[in-house]
Amino acid sequence: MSLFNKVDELRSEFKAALASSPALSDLERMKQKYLGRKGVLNDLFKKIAEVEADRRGEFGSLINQLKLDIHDLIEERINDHRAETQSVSAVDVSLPGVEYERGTLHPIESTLRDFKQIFHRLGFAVAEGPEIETQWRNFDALNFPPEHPARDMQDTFFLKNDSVLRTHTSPVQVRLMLEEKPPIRSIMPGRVYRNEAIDAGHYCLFHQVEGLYVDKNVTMGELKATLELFCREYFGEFVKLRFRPSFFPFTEPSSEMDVSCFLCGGKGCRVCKQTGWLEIGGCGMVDPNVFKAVDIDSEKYTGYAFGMGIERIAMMKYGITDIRLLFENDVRFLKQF
Amino acid sequence: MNISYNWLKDYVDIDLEPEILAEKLTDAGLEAVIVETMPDFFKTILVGHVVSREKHPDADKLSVCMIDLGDGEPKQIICGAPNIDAGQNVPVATIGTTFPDGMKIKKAKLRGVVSNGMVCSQRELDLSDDHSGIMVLDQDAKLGIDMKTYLSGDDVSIELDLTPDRSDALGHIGVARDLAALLGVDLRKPSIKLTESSTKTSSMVSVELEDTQACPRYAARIVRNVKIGESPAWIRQRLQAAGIRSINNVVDAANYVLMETGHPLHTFDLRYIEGEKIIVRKARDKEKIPTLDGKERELDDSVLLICDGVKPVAVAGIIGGENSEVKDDTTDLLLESAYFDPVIVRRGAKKLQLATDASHRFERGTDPNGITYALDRLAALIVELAGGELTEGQVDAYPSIIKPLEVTFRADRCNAILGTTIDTSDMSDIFHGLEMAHSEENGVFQVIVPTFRPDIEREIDLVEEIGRIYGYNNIPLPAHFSIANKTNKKTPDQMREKIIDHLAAIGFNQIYGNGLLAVEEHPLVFGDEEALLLANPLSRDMASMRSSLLMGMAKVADYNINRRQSDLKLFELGQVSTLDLDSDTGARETSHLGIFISGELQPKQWSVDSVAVDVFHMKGVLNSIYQDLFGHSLLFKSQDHDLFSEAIGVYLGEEKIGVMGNLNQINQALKSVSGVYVEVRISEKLGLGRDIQYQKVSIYPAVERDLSILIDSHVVYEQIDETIRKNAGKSLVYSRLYDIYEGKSIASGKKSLTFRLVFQNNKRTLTEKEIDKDFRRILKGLEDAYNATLREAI
Ligand SMILES: [Zn+2]
Repeated sequence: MSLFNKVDELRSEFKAALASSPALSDLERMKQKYLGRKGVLNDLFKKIAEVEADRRGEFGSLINQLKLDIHDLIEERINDHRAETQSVSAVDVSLPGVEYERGTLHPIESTLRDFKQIFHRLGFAVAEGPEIETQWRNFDALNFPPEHPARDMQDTFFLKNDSVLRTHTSPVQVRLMLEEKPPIRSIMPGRVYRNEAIDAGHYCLFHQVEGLYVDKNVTMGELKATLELFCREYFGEFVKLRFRPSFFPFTEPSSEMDVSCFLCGGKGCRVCKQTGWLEIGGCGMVDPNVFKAVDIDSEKYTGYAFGMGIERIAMMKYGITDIRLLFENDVRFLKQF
Repeated sequence: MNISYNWLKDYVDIDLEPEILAEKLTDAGLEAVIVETMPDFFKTILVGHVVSREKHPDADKLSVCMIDLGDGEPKQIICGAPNIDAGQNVPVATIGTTFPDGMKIKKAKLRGVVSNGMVCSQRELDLSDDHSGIMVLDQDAKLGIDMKTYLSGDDVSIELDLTPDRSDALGHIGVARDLAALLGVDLRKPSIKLTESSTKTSSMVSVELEDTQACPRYAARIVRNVKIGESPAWIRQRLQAAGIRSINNVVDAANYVLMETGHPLHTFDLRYIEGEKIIVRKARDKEKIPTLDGKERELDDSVLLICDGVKPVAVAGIIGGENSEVKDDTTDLLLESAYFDPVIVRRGAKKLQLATDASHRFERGTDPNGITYALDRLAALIVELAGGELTEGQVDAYPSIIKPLEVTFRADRCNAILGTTIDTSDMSDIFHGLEMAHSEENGVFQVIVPTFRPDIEREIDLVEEIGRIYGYNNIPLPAHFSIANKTNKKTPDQMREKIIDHLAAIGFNQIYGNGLLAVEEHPLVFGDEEALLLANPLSRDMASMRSSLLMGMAKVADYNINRRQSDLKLFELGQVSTLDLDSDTGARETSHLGIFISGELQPKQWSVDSVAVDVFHMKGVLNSIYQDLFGHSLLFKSQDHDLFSEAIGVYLGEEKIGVMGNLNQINQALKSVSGVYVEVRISEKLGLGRDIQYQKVSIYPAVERDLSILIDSHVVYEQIDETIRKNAGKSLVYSRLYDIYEGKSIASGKKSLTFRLVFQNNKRTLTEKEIDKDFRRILKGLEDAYNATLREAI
């Protein structure tokens, strides 16, 4: 092989090496290999005596040209590398991103939204009523006799004109049944008031969600199934539900509903007071006396009603142990939700 | 109310652990939990027998006792009580006992003699205040058992939390009745054997009922020559499990029968009953009676009295009189068993502001036909415990008999309501278990409802009984729901959710304020609010309903600012109420939205400057709600307002809906609060959202031009903006004010405004010439109207 061919061979060998995207250190090594004092091109140049005399000038300029090309290409690559590393180090990517302040829904609101969403899926509309009610709608129409101990169960705020701050959302049922004909299927969220001393577990006002379904052939089995589905959706698939007979003037039969404690799974803990159950609300079949008060034929229609305290459930869910936190509105509290 | 597990077994055969029993009762509506009525340290207090007692060699007042704790190896214990003696059984705190006050019993030397424990007084065991000597236990007590077992007989207490309708379950027999129905076993009521003397009770006392409405029935018996003393262990243990302290054999007997039958009874000392009669009548106005609790009570005719021939001796169904109380030297007793109207007892208890065990039961309704049984049971028990002579017969004033109700009950109706398929024979078993006599034909029952169940009057009440005993948790769940085919009404709720979501999305924190305020805390935000006052407020600072959201918001702001949280973006959407005589509640309720911003709207960050709050931010927030969400334009007009500096009235069309501005100091207490506040009434007229119709987006390029003008300072933005729009022609699609400048380099009395104008056409590309023409027309309009001049064109 002639020395001329050797020059071509080195050129293609270099090109291949350059094509394999050498790192900065590789480029330095290539520089030494091809251009160094003891590099391959100098070695080759030393063999110039072996070339025929008339082609020595040609051979020399060929090697010089290759040297220049290799030098330029390597320097170009090295500059590329430097530029790359320089642009990275110019920006401190660990600087904080610009903060976009997020607003928040109050935990009572977000709990209520969760409720609405689930009941909406189950075909319930939303109905509302005022916080100040007549005694007729708050008590009488709901089958509270004037002298019954049941009126003691809820200590009521009265206005000077004998109206009351509603003690439950149930008067909305009365309004709804007077306004609409069955079928009626609504939930009724709202603020209610109780004349109780304020402490970690009690506040003079709180929020309830009431539910009502009146139609032909409404059964207690369906009431149970509806609430059970609600609880599974809200608390989780594995929650268990327990119904206990209870007493409310406006339902008969009446029931309390408990869910298995989601903290201890029913084994008993501080939150469920070692019972394994958490009381979440009351329910039952609409009492015929209530139907009578709103002029619905209780032989033709049946209905169920239920009610749950939003604060109570929000507190369970978020681990809040003092109800007053919900009404203090400390932004450091609010921003957690 | 606490009941005893052992006691229940007298009336019904139970083969269930107490925990399971409590669960069964709970599932049937008698909420039950096992409770520990005795303190933990009783476990190491053991019954010991004093084998010998000798004087301590070096201390006069101490005794050295050898006490057998049942293991046959008597222990040496030093005791300082004067009453300790050989042969007694005593409670011994053994080594390792820790008393509630922290005192620990250790092996100790007292004046050189070793003591292996301590003999306890009643006070040391917290059983009474008696500390005169050590407590002496029953002679036949088993040695070595702990105090818990000694006192309760190894019983378990079950606490019942009863609903007010279940007066029948206020005694062991009532609870046992539910258990009998639940377990399908028989209820056993104690049979009574009476030994009566030949003296007729009716010859010794008569009963007159003046008000048979208030007292339909009153029965009495007399026992003579009883001996008041201590009750035997079995009765003390049972009362203990039921949470009742033993007093003496007669009082204990009355309490025992109360806890057995649920029927309250009263015992009088016969020697103080004058005139050989009992009169039941309403109290006279201002009539007085000294009651058992040592108070003198002044009465009126809302209270029913039990009187003898001369004076009142008890407040019917509530509390006995001090003047006829049974004492240690009482020998002759008059026993009362009566039925009082629940309403009269309730009113009386309210008047006296006194709730007793008896009033609790009478208010909820007792059994008028169960009183002779309870009376006989009491008489027999007293004779058993305290001896004496029972005179013949009851004196029973019961002029008109209260008959049990007969209720028609349809089995298929019951199944239709519960969603069950219970058959009639199972229903019949349940009625039988509940002691409800009945007949049945073709699924229709005639049920006799006993008078001990005043809560049951109707078919639906019996449906609950079936459901409750069958078990709510056994009612099957349908696989499908029936959902009515009906369109749901759109409600303002959806509108409010939109507003709340929007504000949260743009960085605001929602608050829920207290709706109750002090009467003087009603800043007039709208100027016409008249606040509603509570008749029975919880406290002075919560005596009225909020008439606006401002005060609640200011309090929340103050709370946070005082905790170094002063960059606030808060809002509340809630109901406020004001007086309205046209409404049947006397109130008008409106939804209000209050928004508060203080401090910096955006904090300074390394790459972003801080933004201070001003009233135009609030204007922008409001516009984003009204315009962007609901498609309504607001108008803003400056006004005077005590609560705000630079107040701005907010208008929706002609209607003023709110006010905003920089808050002035509301009161001294809230002086830390400053910021921008707006409060608007949210009316249903807002609708549920903007009506959206798609507008085609132009495919032709938009061209921007900036317009800078010099104009008289007094010309307001609104006028300039209107003039631009009027003269712009169809191609101006957007205009935005982006700079205002007044001051140096501008003639005084003038200001410079710069607008960014954007021109675009739907059908073609606009030429420079066309845009120039529009631009010049806009400028000319401004020149003509307000003498504006072009400052520089960019
Ligand atoms: Zn738990």
